[in-house]
Amino acid sequence: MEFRKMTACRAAEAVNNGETTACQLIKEILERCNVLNGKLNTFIKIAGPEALEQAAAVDKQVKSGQKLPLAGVPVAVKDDLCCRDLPTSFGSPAFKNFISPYGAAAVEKLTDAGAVVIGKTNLDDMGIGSTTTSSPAGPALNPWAPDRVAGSAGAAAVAAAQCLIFLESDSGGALRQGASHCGVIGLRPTMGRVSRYGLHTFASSFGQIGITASSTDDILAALEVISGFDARDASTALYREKSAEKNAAVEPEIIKIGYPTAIIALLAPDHRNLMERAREDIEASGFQLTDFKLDLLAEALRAYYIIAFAETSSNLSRFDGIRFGMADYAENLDELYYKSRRLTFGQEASRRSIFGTFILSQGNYDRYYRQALKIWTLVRREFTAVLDQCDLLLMPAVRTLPQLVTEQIDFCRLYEEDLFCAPVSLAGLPSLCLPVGEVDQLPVGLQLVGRPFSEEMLIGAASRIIPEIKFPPNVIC
Amino acid sequence: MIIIKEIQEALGKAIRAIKIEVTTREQEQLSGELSCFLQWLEPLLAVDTADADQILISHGAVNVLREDKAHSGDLVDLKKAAPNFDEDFYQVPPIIE
Repeated sequence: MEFRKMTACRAAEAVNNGETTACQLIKEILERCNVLNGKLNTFIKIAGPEALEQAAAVDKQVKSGQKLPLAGVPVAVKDDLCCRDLPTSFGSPAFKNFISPYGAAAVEKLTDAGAVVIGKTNLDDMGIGSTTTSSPAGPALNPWAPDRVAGSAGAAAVAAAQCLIFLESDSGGALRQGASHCGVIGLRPTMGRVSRYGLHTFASSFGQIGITASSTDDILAALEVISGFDARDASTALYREKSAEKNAAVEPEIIKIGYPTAIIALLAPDHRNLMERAREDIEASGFQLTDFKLDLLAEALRAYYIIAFAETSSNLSRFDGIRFGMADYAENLDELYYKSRRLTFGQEASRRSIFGTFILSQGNYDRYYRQALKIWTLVRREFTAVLDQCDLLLMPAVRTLPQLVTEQIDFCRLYEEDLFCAPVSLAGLPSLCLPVGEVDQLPVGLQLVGRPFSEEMLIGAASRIIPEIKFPPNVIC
Repeated sequence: MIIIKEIQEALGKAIRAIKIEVTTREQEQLSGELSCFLQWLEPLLAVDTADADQILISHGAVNVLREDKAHSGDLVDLKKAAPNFDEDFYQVPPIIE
């Protein structure tokens, strides 16, 4: 089977039509996964027997006459999403052997549609970050340049055809930046479109589950499966109310895309040139382009970090060694908390928890946190105003190429990498990262940002813009 | 601008509040990092937010009422999720002297 040329939709068709079986497909991709994992470090856990058991169940359903939309499709899941019968580590050694008693809603919907979970992918300490450099398992490597990080291990897995669909969380841009760095497509849906039940998120206001794949058809197919109301996640009630609204058909001539001329000036020359070439290509595809500007981008990034830190300090406080987290024997309760959190958190999780507590403390709450909440309002107003004038916005996804594995980057500079993604998360808008070209022979993607619940328009527009997806030439198996 | 000594004191308070074990050396490093972080945040403080209300709910407010019924779960699954298990009980460190 040539996985590099296969889409998830085609794989499901082949299984449903009896051209192949789910077992055959999964067996072959597991072999590929195991070989490539030694080179890329994309998976923390490859689910051999469990995946084959799932595949056999899918074959049984297909044999009984059922047509499953994702029959036999190999799916990878970031290790901050709970799966039944597979360990979920959240990127912490404290959870190395934790097996969740329930599965994340989005994962269960995919498996109900016939998809097979082939493994859990590498991630940063407690899922915090977009490089995987703080992972206890070491960083996931970029299949285009193994001396660089992938950003997202699952995006690397899609690019290396270790899986056909990847389910991942995105708060400040991990999914979108990873898709950009690895040359694949990543969709962060509107908050409320997909249930987050079973997702461990450090920042509840921003953590969302998205999809990475190598074709827009696959993104759409997976989105249709995982979307919908879930009583266990109240945010999805909003989608239940909005879902009756139909998206406009994607006819380029009637779609106006905003182009951020002022923002482009912030980019390095190579990235700026790529953005300008993309503008020409998009215009050539028939879309109307018009300038837009966002005045509060840098402030939005800072507001995002203040709120995310505050939420981290609250969300991670439950890892106290009693209810959750690694328990260490101690003389008294305080000592137990101190020791357990030391064992559970890495450097970044500790830093964010401590700084978040500082931000929420007396005297700092009004100065930082309340100010950030007000800027959040202003940022939403700003995005709403530009989306009144445009149907979609074109924005960069990354500022630079993925960092070298050996590179040590100051943490504030690392936060600056989220300049184009975090404000979109703050605005609560859907965003799709699509590959548009290369800089120094490495893929670079751009974001299309839409109005709330306009994912179909984003996907439709992207399908008309994306050039043929390229795969990393060095990864052959 | 908050002076360094104030930052160190405030950081110490935050560490005691969140109860994370850090060494003296780590605390010194965190103090420097917090100072850098606060400097990085400066542009945010200059924004005029007089006409903006603070957002209290991130993504719309729709109340979802759930059935008031306990779901105890399967004992085998619950055991898998526990750090330690002793017969029918979760095993946690003793916290009462």
